[in-house]
Amino acid sequence: MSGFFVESSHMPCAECGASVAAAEREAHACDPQRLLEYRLFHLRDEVAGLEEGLRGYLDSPHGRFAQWLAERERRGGASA
Amino acid sequence: MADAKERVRRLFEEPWKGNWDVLDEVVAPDYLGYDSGQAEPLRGIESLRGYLKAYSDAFPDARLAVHEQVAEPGKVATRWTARGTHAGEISGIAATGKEVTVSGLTISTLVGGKVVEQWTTWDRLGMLVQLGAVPTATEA
Repeated sequence: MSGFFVESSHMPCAECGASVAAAEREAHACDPQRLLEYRLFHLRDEVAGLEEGLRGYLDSPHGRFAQWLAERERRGGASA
Repeated sequence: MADAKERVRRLFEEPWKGNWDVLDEVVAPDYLGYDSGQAEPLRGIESLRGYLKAYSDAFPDARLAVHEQVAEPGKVATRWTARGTHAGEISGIAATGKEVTVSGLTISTLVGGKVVEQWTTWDRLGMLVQLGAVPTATEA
């Protein structure tokens, strides 16, 4: 199969996203902070969706009941 | 010529540090900016500012480093490298979180201490490859 493909002098590390020169690829070690930030970046939609989903649940009848129940338990109302 | 080199160096490096005033200081109002990847030249300071801002918004931590400059009266040639993390949309490509490194060459023409014209060619294809918008041989 023939095709046209290009190379670049730098490529982002697949694990941490850091720009790594071709000559340094084998010696590259991911910075833990960068690795964490890169993974969180890719989870940002999921995290935003989770928060939105939680807000929606808390606004629903079930959510409001759960909040009322939790508050009641926190105040010791359940044992009263 | 040392002053011309320094002016061009500041024009290249300062906006990426947040000093956008350098454009008004160094660029002529009737500036023309030719870029091998642009169909039309940039015309005027605001056009240049808008172009740079688009990249600055997409790569908020970007830094540009000047490696080498060659000058003759009224002209400065600059070899530069830019590096930054893709955190916003650029050229229709949504943020990837990837860090990219691209290099380029620019020839700047100065009149009365102001940059009136620039011809730039930079590795736009390399940027697209690094962002995953163009397949590489290893991905084929």
